[in-house]
Amino acid sequence: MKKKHVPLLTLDPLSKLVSLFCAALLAMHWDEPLPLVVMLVALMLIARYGGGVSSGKLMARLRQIAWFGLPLFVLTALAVPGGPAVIEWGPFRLSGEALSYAAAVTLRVACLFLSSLIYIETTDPQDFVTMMTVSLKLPYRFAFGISMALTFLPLLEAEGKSAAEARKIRYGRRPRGPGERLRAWRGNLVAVFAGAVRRVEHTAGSMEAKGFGAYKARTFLRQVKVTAEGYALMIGSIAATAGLWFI
Amino acid sequence: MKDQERKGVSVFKAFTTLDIVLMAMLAAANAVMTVFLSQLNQVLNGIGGPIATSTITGLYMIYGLLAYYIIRKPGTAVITFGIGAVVQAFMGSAYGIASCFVAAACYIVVAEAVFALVRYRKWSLPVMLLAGGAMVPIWFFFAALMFGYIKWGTDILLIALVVRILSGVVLCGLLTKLLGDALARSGLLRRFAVVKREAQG
Repeated sequence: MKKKHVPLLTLDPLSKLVSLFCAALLAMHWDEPLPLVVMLVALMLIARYGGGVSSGKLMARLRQIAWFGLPLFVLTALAVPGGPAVIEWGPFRLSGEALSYAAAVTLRVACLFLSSLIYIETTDPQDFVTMMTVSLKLPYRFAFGISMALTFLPLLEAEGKSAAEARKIRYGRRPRGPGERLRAWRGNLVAVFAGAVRRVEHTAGSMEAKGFGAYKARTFLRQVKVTAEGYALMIGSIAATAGLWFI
Repeated sequence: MKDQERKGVSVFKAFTTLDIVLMAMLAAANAVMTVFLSQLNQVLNGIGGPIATSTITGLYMIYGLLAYYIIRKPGTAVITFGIGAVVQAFMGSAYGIASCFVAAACYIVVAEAVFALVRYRKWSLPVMLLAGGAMVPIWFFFAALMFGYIKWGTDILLIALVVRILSGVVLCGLLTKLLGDALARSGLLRRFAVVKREAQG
């Protein structure tokens, strides 16, 4: 089977991170809806054709962010004062200025979310860790902490779910009322943190037995290098941000 | 390679493998908790948008403060919140990757400042409550700039800030102290400062 070519997958995490931050800066700088609509459409196209995100997944994510953004839109429209009222309903009044700003803020959140989605979909966390050590010169012991957290995440999640299920079985039903729910939630919180702490000694011992931290530097099996395309993306992103800043 | 060696020696010398593993595990636990909280977060967001979600802000900061409470070494917040930010970024956040890093940077600055102020010697309840509450305002300022709260009316902004600070004090400061002491009593942390210093009196 022919593997689909995804352009952003071939780029290194650093150059994509610089582009992501440029997009985030622009999104936060603009407070008019129009440029943010253009940015959102551009990001959707990049996600679909540059990041290989399927249409179905893209739509699902956009629905998710719309559900999240709607209360932000309503609250911002109500909370921003100023301007003559366009709509008045009892104690609530909405001005044109407030509605425009609320739309811009909601679109901004959508742009931030979508640009991050593109990054996550096209970046291997292990490459990110390698980049932190090799390109950003951060100590590998710190960077390895990230690998470790990502490795243990599914395990701790499964353990947390088991603990929650066990608690439900003990009750014989789902927790009812705020008191029971709070107690159940507190139990889950303690189970997750205790489960994490319980593994610390074993894991640290195993790592030291394998020589972790014995040397001040380490090598990586997978090399992550910033290619010419990566540099071009970084320079292009910074130039585009500077150029679009005054729109 | 030499740069890597030099930095590794100067900044992270004090941290043992055990410390780093603990910080990583707590960051992972925080990520799991975020998954469990997402349903509650969605409900709160539906009820009152960012103001309602402010009530549980403190829960998202527990892991960093808990790591500090257990390890008690300068720089703990830098590593723990740093790891947490990257993990959170790769798990996906509705607010975007940039916000994960900015929030972590704000928490780092305040947590390091608070514990430096008490010279890493006081770990009482008032200090933990102070740290939990103090970690909120700087991130709130940046979040207000990033997500447009800055144009809200002053009264609504103040309500949101007060709610967040209270959440930081109670759900971060107080819970960290309770959780830290409970874990210390369990015997799981006998090789960490939280137990050693208690034993020394």
